[in-house]
Amino acid sequence: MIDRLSGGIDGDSALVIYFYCNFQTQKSQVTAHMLASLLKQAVGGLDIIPEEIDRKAKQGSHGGGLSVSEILRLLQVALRSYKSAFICIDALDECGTEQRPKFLNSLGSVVTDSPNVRLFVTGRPHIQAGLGEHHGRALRIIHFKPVKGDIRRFLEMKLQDDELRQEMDSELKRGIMEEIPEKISEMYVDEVVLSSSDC
Amino acid sequence: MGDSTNRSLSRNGNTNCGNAENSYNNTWNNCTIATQSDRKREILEWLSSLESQGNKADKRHHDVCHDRVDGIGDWVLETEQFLKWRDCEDGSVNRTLFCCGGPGVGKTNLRYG
Repeated sequence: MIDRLSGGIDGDSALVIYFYCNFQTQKSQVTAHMLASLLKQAVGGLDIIPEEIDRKAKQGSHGGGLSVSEILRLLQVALRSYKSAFICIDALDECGTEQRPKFLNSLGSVVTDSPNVRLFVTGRPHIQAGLGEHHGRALRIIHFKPVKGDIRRFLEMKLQDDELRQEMDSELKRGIMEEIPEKISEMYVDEVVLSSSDC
Repeated sequence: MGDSTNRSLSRNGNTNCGNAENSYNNTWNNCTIATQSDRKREILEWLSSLESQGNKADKRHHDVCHDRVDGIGDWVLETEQFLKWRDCEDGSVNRTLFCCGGPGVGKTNLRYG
């Protein structure tokens, strides 16, 4: 998704920047760090560095970090240089609960202030309320569900990589490929709602 | 190469001047580009120091690319919601798209294309 969105709108190249939240490294994921990661990627794609960013960097290199609002400001400045930009945040539910409101609020400011920027977020359903609070009417939702074709592709890959695959007889392989997709799809049957009603 | 240079000089005295000017401009431009490039590298290093050292986005992205299975979740990227969100430029679209689902369903591994 990240790789290919950068193909852009109408063939023009678009900026795609991203952050993967991770439960295991949650303590090191504070809002300032996550925004700085996005800022670094945005600056990395620029040919000419805006003066405001250059000036802050000169001050910053003499010591001292930047506040969340300062990083946010620089991110908005950097994003203005692009015709279109996508920010992708994966597994937002794995971002610490103390950091999530501030991070969401910051991303909401970017999206509101920059018409050329769009935000893509993945996460478990329970964070929807928080997203709605900060992004309100700007939020659109797709409920992701595993479809049988996806499960079969995944199982094929797993079977190919399994070191015991030579010892499996064809009946076992058939059972895996036919029964697991059916059962897993049934598990998620209640979630199969494409959410036109939510939008 | 020497002959060609001499011929050029004998035909037009200004050519040398022009070459010198071009050469100066090229050198100046190259220096400017090199300086900008050095400065950008310094700024990126500084920004890198502000990131979370234990969770670098580029490393994680590399790992995800390595582990994913092509084609999983393609249907999401063909939905009207996704295409409108991606393509609309007039500001009428909802700018935030939330792809929600339970653990392990493949949200992280979505691949457009």
